[in-house]
Amino acid sequence: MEDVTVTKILCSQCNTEINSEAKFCTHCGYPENGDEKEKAKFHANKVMQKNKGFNDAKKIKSARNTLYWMAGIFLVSGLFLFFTLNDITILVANLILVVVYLILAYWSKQKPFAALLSALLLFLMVIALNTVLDPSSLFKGILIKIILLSFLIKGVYSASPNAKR
Amino acid sequence: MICRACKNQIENRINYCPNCGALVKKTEQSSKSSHLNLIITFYIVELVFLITAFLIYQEGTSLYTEIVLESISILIVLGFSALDIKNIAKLYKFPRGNTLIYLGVFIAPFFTAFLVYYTMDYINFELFEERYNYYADYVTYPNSLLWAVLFLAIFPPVFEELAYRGFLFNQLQKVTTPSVTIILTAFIFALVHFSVISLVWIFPFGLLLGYLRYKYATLWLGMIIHFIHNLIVLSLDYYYFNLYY
Repeated sequence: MEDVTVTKILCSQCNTEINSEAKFCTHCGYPENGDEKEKAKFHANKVMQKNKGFNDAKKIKSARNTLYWMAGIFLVSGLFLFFTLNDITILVANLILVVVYLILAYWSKQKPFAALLSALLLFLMVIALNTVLDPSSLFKGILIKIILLSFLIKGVYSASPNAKR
Repeated sequence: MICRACKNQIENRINYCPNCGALVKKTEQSSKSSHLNLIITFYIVELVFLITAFLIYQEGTSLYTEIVLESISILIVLGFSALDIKNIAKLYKFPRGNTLIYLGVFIAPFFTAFLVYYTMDYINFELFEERYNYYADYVTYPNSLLWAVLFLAIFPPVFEELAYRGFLFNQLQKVTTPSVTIILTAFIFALVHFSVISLVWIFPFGLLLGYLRYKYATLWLGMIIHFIHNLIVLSLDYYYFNLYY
């Protein structure tokens, strides 16, 4: 067997054993043997990654607030329709939705991905059901629907990489 | 292994290339969001199909439209499943013989079916003052019982299990933990049944089916439970229909 002696050093950032000639650490990507510019770039990227995590947390939080808002909207519209149309079915359906959304909002603290995805899918279903019952309802309050949907979608995608943590 | 950025030979199992600093570890995040895209696409396609089907049913039904719509829904499920055929095919293996499980799988649906049938009938009657009979939809067709059995007791177990416990379960498993996967598949399964009231029983039913799929890595147990459950509900509807009308 050929005897190759490779000197090993420890990466100054993550203490992984790396070859002394290697320019980059194989574990964290730190340019151990690179120039100042490359090292600065590494640190800048690290800060950006951290910011992204911070942004994700913010998006998840605003998605959770969206869930509380939706529970409120369902409650108000359910009561409104009950007193104007005197329709007990709509009231019961809306009250179930209010409870489900409050549960999802609470659950989103433990499992943000699962809770927000459920909320998104349920909201799409509510829109679909209303469309079936009254096709013109699809365009009623379309702006609010789009805003709520966009908050939920942002929340779901921000929560998905964190799902296993 | 060869670095994609600088084409140098590099070791396996490292995160960054030592020569050029490029990230070589397969980026988990991008593959995760592609599974998520697939899940949401599948759900939206199902929703659009359900709305269209519902609007077509309102125009009036015939055996012909029934067959066409059923075929389209089957094609949607098969189309999505084809994207992940390798992993789904594995789920059609029978689990190693544990007689107790099979016994349970044959007995459990008797309880669920009777429980669900009478409670739902009670709730529907108390709340909406109406009774719904699935069999009544098929009475006007020739060979009505045959079509009812096919569309209510055979197709749903086969294709719903494939769609929700097969395709959707596999996709969700790649983005999240097993327990969340079971809960979400049950939730989506309950949602696409298109009724707020059915959420009450279809959700726990979906949890049971999802748990069996997870524990035994097979679709057969779920298919057997689902089939017997639907068959009993249909038989009860058939019995009461002939009794009252």
